[in-house]
Amino acid sequence: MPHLACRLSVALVAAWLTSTSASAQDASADALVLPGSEVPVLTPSHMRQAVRDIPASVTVLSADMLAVYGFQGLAEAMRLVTGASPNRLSGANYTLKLGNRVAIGPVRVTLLVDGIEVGGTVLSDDDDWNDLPVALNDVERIEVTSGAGAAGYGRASKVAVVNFVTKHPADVERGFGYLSIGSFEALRAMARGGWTLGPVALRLTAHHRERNEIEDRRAFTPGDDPVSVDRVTLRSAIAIAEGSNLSFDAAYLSSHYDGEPAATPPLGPRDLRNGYASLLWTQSIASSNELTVRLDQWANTSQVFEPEEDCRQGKACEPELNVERRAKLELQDVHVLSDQLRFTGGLGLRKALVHSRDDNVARWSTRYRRLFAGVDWTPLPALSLSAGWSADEADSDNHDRTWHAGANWHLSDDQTLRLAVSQGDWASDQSLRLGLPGVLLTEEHLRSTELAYQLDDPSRAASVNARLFWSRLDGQVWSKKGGADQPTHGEFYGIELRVAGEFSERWSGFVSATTLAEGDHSGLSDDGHRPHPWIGATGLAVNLGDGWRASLGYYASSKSTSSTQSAGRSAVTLLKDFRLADARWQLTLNLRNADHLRAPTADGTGTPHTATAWSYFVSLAAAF
Amino acid sequence: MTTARRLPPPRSPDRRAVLRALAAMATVAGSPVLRAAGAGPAELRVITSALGEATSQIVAALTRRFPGAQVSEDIKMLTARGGPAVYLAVGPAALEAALNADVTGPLVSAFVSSPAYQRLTAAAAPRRTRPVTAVFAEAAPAAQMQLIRRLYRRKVVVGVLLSASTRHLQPLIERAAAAADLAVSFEVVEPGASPVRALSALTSASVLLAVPDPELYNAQVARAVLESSYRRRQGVIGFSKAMVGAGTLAAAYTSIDDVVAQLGEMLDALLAGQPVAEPQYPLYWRVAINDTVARSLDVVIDATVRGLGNFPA
Repeated sequence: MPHLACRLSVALVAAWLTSTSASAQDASADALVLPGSEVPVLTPSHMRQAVRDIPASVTVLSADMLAVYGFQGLAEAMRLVTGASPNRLSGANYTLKLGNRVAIGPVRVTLLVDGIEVGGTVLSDDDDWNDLPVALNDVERIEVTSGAGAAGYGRASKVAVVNFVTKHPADVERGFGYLSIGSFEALRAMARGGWTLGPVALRLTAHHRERNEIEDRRAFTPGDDPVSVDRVTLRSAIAIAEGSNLSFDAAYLSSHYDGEPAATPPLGPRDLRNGYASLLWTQSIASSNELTVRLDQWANTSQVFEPEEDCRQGKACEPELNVERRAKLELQDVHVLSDQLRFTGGLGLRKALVHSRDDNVARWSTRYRRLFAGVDWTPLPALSLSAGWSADEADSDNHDRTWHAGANWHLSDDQTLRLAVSQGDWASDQSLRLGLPGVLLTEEHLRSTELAYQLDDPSRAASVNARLFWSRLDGQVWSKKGGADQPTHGEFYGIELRVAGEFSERWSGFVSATTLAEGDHSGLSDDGHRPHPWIGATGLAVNLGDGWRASLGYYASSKSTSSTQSAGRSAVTLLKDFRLADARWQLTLNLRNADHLRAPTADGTGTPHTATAWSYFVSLAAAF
Repeated sequence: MTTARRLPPPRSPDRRAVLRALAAMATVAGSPVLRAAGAGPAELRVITSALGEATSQIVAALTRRFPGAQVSEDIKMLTARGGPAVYLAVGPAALEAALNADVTGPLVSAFVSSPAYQRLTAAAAPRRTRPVTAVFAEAAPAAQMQLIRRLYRRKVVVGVLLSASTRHLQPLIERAAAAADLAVSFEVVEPGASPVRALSALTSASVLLAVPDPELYNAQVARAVLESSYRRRQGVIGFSKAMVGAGTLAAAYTSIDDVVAQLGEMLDALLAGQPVAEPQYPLYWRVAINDTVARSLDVVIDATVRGLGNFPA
């Protein structure tokens, strides 16, 4: 992640000494510097930027906001992001599958933990966010970049980038404990320690989650079966010298799902293991120049067993084993030419490997060479311009290229008009080589444009964000039946609105809505319809005083395809913060209701019906 | 992204001229008493510590305001002059020396933070026989709260770290926050505990107000506190202009001329024989902003913020 290391020590020594001695306040500082070794927000231009200058739609969800609205997991926290449905985050609930929704395509969301890319499995259309190696209580904030700006991260196929920024090892309490129980025999337990050993700060977290089958839903969905998950994460920060910092992060997750033999089709037990290790070194070369070297390794293993019934009927009961690994070495330099002009550039290597064994053994691996560059220019105080380009090249069948540009025009101190455009091309033969059955998306060209208006009124903590967006995808799909690649395309456009603010000293709230439409001749729809799906959310929070807080949230989406149904979630949360025995405590009661209008069978056939599930969770956290 | 921007050099008086003036003052120690420009029966005697660049600026400003003032690092030499006098101690070292010396007449402390003043006067209390007052080095909490209110333009929670030595500031800060229509949240850092980890108790705060407490904001810890608050996107309000240059969002601060202007009024009264006033925060103050940090934290700075303050006539 890009940043300039600061040179605070000398200046702060001066600051402190001058303020307590006769040297007085007019002593000059050594330099105008920024503290911190972290970027406030991950930006498409790979440079530190204020939110109002970022050429992309960015939503920042704070840990406090996640607590107030009572979220229990990372996936459901996305309900606070405009355009994200109660169930998933993608292009405004569009699954963006070309070829009439039957093509197997890439995961559309880039997931990062502190800038480390996790997930993005090539063996599935989607990551299960409940199986990410990060615990919700470790999250400091979530930064979500969507729309055209998402291309700035350098993945042409993505429509959103979600960065889970976890608590820095120097910032966490010495000890933290968390226990949550609730419906479906759910149990969450977590313990975290923070240590400072000279220049080294450490954070170690152990987390366990288990839950029985969600049995009062009438239709089974993978993930509703009994599950047990264990996570261990380590985050460290080492101050090597003035302007030189090293961090080592590692995480490991192991989960087991029991499966559901009675489901249609039956689902066998699954064992998942994933994790990462990352080394990040930042070196300030000069006051206006910083070098970053990142080495990341991510691995994911899944083992899927046949349902027991199938085994008894004589089927092979050997589990399907899939192994994915990804390694990245990246070097980046940020150069600040002036307050108005900044450059960044970098190069790297990225290696990906997938080893799959279903009925036969398949293997795919590729090594990408990576180059990227960006510029951020403020020609006028009211105008910020950004542009960037990146290219990951392996061979003619495997590449990933993007460019993006944006302009932020500050109409006033409070109002900003933003225009962002991006284009990406990618191709991959991984699905072909892995021998995945069905219709495979092998190549794609994605163009996106958005025009946005942002109003911030600090006096009422109020904001209005409105966005018009358009995207077109042109791709090649390969099918066993059709033979060679066939061209196809999809196109959609929509509008998004979010209003948030404080109504009084105690009350705050938000309302957001998104609707979109599919263009003529677009190949996204699977049944010839041109639906106008909408997604909406609203929330109200109140500070009741004396440590009591409460919130009410409602999140809903309409039917957008024949395989997805309208869904609604509502939740009431009551929190109490208090102090006891030199510790800070937080007691949370969360009552929620889930409405689905869903098909009774997993393949989408049959008559839709409504299923309602009530659930509750009680949690207690202590920090000391 | 940061830009190393060299600030213009501080306004520096001719250092040799100051030294010459001090030498000349020393040579006239036995000469007829030089009266302060404020015209009174008592003499102004200025006690300094080692002469540094900032001290030179202060002495120059004082001698402009009080041409007849006696200035010396040697407190014995000043006390040996006899006759009625008002003593001005510049800086904590000079204040400590003055408190421990056998001086007669009122003692005024300047360019010493309020916690340092409290500590030094408390330590010298049993031996103290003359009235002591002060104009503190840092701007009043009321000024800092006014600045915060104007920066954030709404009622926000102000987080404050205190230690045992600054715990007494809590009521004063609470009153200042209430007057500015702000909420305030305190966390007292116990001896031996990490101020940085203590910040985790102030996550509900939008902004952190730093107080001049060497246990919390010393050279080793201040950087870590700044970094930690920055990671949480909390602005930090410093207590000196230098801290703003070092990375805090803003500060209400007093310049040397501001303090000297207030000292002038206070010393004029004392030299005229009026009673010693209570220690006070600077009457005059102004605002320093770190625009780069403000931009990074999405805090929009308008002209009213930059013009905030109370300036001497």
